[in-house]
Amino acid sequence: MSDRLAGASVVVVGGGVTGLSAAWWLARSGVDVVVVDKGIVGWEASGRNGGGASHYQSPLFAEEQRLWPQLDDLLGYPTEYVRERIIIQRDPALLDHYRAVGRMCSAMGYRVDDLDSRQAQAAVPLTDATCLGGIHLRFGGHANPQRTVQAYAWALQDCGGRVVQHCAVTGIATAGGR
Amino acid sequence: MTPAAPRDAFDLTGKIAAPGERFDTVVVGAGPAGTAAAIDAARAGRRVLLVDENPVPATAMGGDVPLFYGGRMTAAVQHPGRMIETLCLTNPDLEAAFDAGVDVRLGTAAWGLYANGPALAALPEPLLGLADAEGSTMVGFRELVLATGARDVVLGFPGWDQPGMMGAQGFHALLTRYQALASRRIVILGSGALALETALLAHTHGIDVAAIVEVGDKPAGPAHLRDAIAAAGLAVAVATVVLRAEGGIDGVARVVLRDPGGERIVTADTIVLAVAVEPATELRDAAGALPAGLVRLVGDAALPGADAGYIAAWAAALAAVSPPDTVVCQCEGVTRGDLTGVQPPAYLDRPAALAARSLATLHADGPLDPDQIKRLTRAGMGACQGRRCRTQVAALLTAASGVAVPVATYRNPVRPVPLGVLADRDEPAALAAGWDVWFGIPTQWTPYADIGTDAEFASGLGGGNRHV
Repeated sequence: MSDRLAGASVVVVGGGVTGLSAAWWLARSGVDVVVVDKGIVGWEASGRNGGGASHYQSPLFAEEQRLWPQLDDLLGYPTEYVRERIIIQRDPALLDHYRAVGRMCSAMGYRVDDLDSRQAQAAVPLTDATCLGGIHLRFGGHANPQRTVQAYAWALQDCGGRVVQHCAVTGIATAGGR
Repeated sequence: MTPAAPRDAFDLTGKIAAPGERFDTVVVGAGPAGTAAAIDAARAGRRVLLVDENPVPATAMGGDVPLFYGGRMTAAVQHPGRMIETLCLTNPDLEAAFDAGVDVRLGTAAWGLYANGPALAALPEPLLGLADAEGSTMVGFRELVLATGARDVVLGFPGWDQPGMMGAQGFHALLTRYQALASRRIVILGSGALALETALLAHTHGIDVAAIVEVGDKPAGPAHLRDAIAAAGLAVAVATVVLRAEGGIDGVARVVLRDPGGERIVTADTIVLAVAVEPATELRDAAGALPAGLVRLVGDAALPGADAGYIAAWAAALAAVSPPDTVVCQCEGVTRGDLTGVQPPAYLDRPAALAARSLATLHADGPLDPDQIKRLTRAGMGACQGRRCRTQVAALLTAASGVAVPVATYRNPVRPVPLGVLADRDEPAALAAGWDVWFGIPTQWTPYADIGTDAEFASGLGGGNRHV
């Protein structure tokens, strides 16, 4: 293990999607980087979430929409990314709420279609007439979070980066101001 | 004095409802050990609940819940009234439990145990999730007794994923507890005490024992059982391995064995895996760190783990004569080759870079973690939660890597529960309001460019639940 830890220009503490994507971007630019995690990559929140790729509220939204459709090719490993999302509702107040979200996204230049009950049932066959309708996001999508994290880890290694699992960081020592 | 930090409006503390019912002692499992523990507690003056998932619905039994029944049930299991009657008849102590004042609930599965610990602080008290055919409920308790018994360690070979392949515990339960076994002629795998007792039980009930198979050079069971087997006119076929099970629409019909003399075909409708059992402790194991004294194991659930050496010998012998496309995880259809190669599920493409990944490349990243392999291969991630395959998965990974790989962890719910049963129809409004909100940040779902402008408030969508 000491060989793999020796001599990195950048050490990333934490193998979640943030740490691994940062490390991968560094490594593909030629930076010597090692990611250290006390468990496995994506063990906590990065591996257990809805896998959403539709963060209209984020400052990185435009970049998210640009990168996700090409991410499998960029990384070389499948993330199970699937385009678009459909949200259906049985509660009239929540349906109004999501319709407003749809209008907000449309105003940002990202298409959202309203679905009436019949359209929602056709799009989501396991529902029934109690479904009042929904919205269909023509942008964004979702991916398998654990596979995405692992894809970043493997792509990082393919660029010469290193991943050290089950290795807790216990402190940071400085010498000579570094 | 430092002012108190403002409380997060979406903190769950205090919002999770207290259980509708509380007991001094809850016992899970109404076999002999659980029934005895319940009676003892009731006679000591405690308020006691005794639950048992049996009888499980016939459809669940078809899915090998809770034991590996292998589809060899008679139509008797379709009749809930008959099943309850049989359970009561075959466990006379249940009547004593009723008389002692124990609240006995059959057909009620315990699917999750929750207690505050390092990663959870919001519960009002420890809770046990119960579900019957109608709905799900949480009960409170001061002590939880797990009398959940043991389950079969399952090992696969070509053809094991068809009706007629069952475990010794499933065999025993169908034959003696439910009196609903459809098997007529069986092959038993293993020759330890479990296997030999299974053979004697079958023989006593007039079921033909076509073969008792042992991969090792001599029977593994104790002398008195070997003598009893011989007295019954049965013999252990040593240095023998199962090549495959063959069958048709009704499942297993023939078993192909190989010994030093060559191959032979044995006619049988059932294969009973009797290599090993392991304690069924998944309720405790999935709960994480628990306060001392909260949970007590009794009966077979308190037994030490299975004999890893004997399981490894069997797993290695079966793997040596079966192709890599032999299914290991039935639920997700994962093959042995894909498991030990850490390859993705079949629905995903495998680019060259992915095909080059292996157990060895993963091992280079640090100690092998069974939960990482589970997430990457999906082995053990199906509806059975790995109960049928996780021990085999660990044995195969250990053999393939040369280092001891532990079993993967369990997750709640530890039993398959229909969502319609699990749904919380009385969810408190304070919980419903915050199910998709982080910390109540006012601008959390506001488009970034709108923050600080008039548009920030134009949508009128203040608050949460705007996640897409």
